[in-house]
Amino acid sequence: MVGFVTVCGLVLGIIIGILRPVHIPAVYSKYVGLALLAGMDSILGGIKGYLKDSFDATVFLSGFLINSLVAALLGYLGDQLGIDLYLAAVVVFGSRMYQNIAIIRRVLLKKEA
Amino acid sequence: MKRTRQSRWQSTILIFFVISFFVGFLLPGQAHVVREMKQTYQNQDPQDLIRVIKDLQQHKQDLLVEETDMSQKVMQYLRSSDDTAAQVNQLQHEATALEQRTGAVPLAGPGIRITIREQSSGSSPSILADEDLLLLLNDLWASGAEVISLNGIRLTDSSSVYRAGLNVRVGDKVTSMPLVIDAIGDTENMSKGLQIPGGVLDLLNLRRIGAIVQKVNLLRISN
Repeated sequence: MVGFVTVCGLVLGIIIGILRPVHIPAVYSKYVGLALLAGMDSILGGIKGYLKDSFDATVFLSGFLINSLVAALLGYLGDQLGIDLYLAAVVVFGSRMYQNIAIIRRVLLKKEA
Repeated sequence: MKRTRQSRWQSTILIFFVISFFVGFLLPGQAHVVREMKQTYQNQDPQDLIRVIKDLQQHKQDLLVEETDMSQKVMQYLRSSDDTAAQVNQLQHEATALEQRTGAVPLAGPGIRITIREQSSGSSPSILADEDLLLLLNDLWASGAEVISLNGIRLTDSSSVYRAGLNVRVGDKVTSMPLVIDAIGDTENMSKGLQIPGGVLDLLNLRRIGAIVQKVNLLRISN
């Protein structure tokens, strides 16, 4: 059910975003991209926690906000220091997304069985 | 207990929906910005930009060469068009001259009128000979006559003029004396050409053939 609601919310958001696109300044697009990556990681983490009966709304919300903010700040800091620090966020969140998807898949397969 | 669990479940669903909606809402905007940024040179790879600049420079060189070639072609076309216009003018001029000489168009203008009267009666008749007539006509042509008519019969380059008894045959037409020769052209030249001492008029006077030369402001010779 949570997965269905998540997909519905995501699809609805994309449709409305296409119909009424939000203007993101090009200067901040890199940071917004990192924040979105962190947000998607948080969503997948939340679904994983829900499926494992360890979901906590506070942790989920705080994780979503803090992870997105830290990812964006990491990218900004890297730009200021002349280091590709955003790559760290990309690698961490990217690998975690893979792990979360793998866990969700296994849990769903176990439930089916 | 059951109500609390239901409330928590609803809030969980709501949180998931809101957050996923928020992420989904931002995704198209972000994709749009990234797509726009890819089209700007600021975010291109320097190596790609160097290649693009080299390609553009080569393209510029090619265009310059092409421009030079095209300019030369344009100049050639312009020159040839000028030549063509001159040729057309020349041809039109020649066509007009040929039309005049062949008698295709009627002409009007200043000229001279020569009236020749011979004395065919009496004890010593004075007859205009073929040679006299041809000499007169040739002198007129030579002194600038553009078109000549004999008693209204227009002469062309191929016209044959000769005496036929007491009459004069012009091509396939026959006319009789007195002979009125109209010549359109440079009046002064034609007049002087005929009145040259020892010329055709002196010859006619010597043979007692009356020839009266008149300058006419407007002569009309039809085809």
